[in-house]
Amino acid sequence: MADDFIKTLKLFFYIQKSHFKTAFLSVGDALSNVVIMLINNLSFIFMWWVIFHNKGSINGWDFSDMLLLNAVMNNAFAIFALFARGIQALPEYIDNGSLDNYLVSPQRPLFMIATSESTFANWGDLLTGLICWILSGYTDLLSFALMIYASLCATAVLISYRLLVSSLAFFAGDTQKLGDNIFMAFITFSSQPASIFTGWYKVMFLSIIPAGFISLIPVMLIKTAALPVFLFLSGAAVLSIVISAAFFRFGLKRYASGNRFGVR
Amino acid sequence: MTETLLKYGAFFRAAFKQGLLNRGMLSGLLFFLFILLFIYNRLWEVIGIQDNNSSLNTIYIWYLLFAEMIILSLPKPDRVLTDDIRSGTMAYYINKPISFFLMRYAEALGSMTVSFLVMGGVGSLMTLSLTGVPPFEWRYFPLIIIMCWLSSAINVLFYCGIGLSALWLESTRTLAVAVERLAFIFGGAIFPLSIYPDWFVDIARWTPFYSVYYLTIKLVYDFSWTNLFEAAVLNSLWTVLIVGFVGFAYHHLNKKVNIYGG
Amino acid sequence: MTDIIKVDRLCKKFRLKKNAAGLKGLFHPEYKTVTAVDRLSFNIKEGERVAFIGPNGAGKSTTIKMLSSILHPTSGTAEVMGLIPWENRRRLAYHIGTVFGQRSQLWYNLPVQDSFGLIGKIYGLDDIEFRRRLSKLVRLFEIRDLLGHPTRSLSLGQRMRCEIVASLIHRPQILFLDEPTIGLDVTAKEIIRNLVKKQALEENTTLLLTSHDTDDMEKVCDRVIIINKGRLIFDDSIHALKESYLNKKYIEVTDDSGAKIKTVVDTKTTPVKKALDELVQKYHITDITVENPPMEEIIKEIYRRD
Repeated sequence: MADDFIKTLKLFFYIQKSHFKTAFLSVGDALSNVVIMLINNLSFIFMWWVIFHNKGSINGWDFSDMLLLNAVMNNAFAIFALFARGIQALPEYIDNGSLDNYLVSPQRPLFMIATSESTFANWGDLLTGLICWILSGYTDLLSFALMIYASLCATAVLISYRLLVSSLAFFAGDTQKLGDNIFMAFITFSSQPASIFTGWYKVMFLSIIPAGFISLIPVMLIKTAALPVFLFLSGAAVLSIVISAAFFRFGLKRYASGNRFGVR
Repeated sequence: MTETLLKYGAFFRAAFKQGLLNRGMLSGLLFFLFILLFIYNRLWEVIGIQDNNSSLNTIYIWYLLFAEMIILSLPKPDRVLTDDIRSGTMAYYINKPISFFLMRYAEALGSMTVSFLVMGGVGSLMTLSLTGVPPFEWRYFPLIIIMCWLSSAINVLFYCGIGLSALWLESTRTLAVAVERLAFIFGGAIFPLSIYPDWFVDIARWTPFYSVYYLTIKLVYDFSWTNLFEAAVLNSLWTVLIVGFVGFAYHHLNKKVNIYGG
Repeated sequence: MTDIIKVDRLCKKFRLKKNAAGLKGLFHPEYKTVTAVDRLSFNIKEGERVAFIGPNGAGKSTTIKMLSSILHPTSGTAEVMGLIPWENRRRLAYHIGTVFGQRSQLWYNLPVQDSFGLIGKIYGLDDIEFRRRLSKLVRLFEIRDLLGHPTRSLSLGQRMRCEIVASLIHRPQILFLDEPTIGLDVTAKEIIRNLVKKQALEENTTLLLTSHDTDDMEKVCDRVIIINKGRLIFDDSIHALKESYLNKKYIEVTDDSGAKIKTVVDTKTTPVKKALDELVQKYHITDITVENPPMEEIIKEIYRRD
């Protein structure tokens, strides 16, 4: 078991090395894309600074909350885009049949699919996350630990959601665009000051489009360090992994039945 | 003159039709537009309650709609032109009685116009149901629409120019993305520049995005003949500059093709 | 010799939506069942090179996908190296290699050797073992000059050679090739055929290949299984296939005006001598050729009889 894990970890690093190699085939492009990503993110954060500077706070959220949100969200998105981006391409893999190549591999298909793509520019997101955390002022050790933990939980929710949406392709026709759109809406929701979603919006925000687990709850956890929030976030992370993995498995079973395509 | 218009009009129409048939692209665009309108409406609603100013979301969401009509309707003409130059496709057009650049520009205008109109139509209904009647007087509506469409046309021309810079630049896509970001922030793409600090607006004034985006779109909630005049004059000025650059680059390109054969 | 693949009454049925489009299809879907593979049984011995032939939609790919663990059958069973493929997917992966004609397992932008390195890691080969194996395959498939090039810069034929090497790195005992020569030109096809056969003979690899091109089976394989509408309709050596359908002769004569006359003679009803006599009487013959029917025709004839 442990042996298996170490082997998989080694393979993971080897795959990442290959992604680095691909990106650095053109060093100028790779680095300028990272810088542009950073500028892109910072211009959004500047925009929020303007709003908060004007209005003071929005429904109890101030600019430091927004910075914490951006720290967590950018970390989560970066980890997804760097190490699990292939999940986004799953509908395409199903449609053009390249999923078969992963199914005849001796590794777990989901591992092979997830690591099959990586966008180097998203290292810029990780940089953004770091900058936002430093600017937020929550730089003591406990806050740091909570920030890292919250980022990991947010990553779990984010990747699970993408997997769930991508797995729709096992059941319907061309769902690449639909999935991309739903996921983009999810990301857009999670990048707003979470305090603006109240009432039914908040319920939606923590269920169908679980963006609250990327923005609202992580920020709460870092600021309050409260045990119930910690448990709530951890529970959400575990639950979303379980649900999406089950859905993916179910989809894979359907794929193996061949009814998705019929005779080829 | 009419013959020229007809000629490029044909490319415009072809691209327009093709854009209209691309249902997937259009519905994706509308979906994203709806998400943006919905979220920012919520934001301004909340701020409006806080500030006791219930007209905030009406003003800012109609502004946002017109801003997104310009920004989201942009096809990627820079990519098309860069590919043409890199692959040598443009050399095939050198002996044909059409300007290669104008052909691509007309096509890009065609695809832009489809998205612009569809977003304008459906987006207006969305905005109407979210925030209520627009902040402008209906008799100015045609003028506002025309001004925004012209801004969008300048925007497209701008990215065509970026495409031509493939003559000198390694990665035009990087430049295009960088410019997109600058436009986003200096043009007041989501919030009008009026809420930004003065020092920032003073910098923005020196970029084309200030008038092509902000001043033009502002007509939506702050229409006056002076504002219209200011936007029109500044936009014309920037257009002349861009056309100058494009003319220079295109001339250079033709020379290059004549010498090396593409 | 032991049977390395055993297939016993394998069936695969698909349920397809009849009215896929529109609202009606969403709420009241009507299904029709298509039988892609119909009670297929055959055994393959270690080291055999088997061609799997059939028209479009005959169930070739479906069968290969079941044997390589991708699809579950509706009924019947199969064993590959003693394992039921769809129940032992990851264990079986170490013993089989697969090449799906148009789907690459190589990284598009990276040099080919980097892709090979990655595949070595995926199969858990240690470095020494990997290098020894790769250098042998590189020699066998003559791809030394291609190693440093990214996949995207290779021609289709070169790429296919690299794809096959990629699927052989972990020393599979069985190699599944689904349309390996599709889209290649005549020369490239010939090269691939020779290399595949050479490798199979040298390492005693069991080969199962599907193809549209009957030349693939003639030049690579020693046995042919023909299926039509999911059913097995022929299973014997290539030699036997030719023998049993050789009762037709294609005769072409040229007369003194330069005109060419072609006839097909069924030797069961008309002896060749009689046919030739008639032709000689009718025309002033300046040239004559008598040929066996091409493999294409033989296969078509088999489908017709089915």
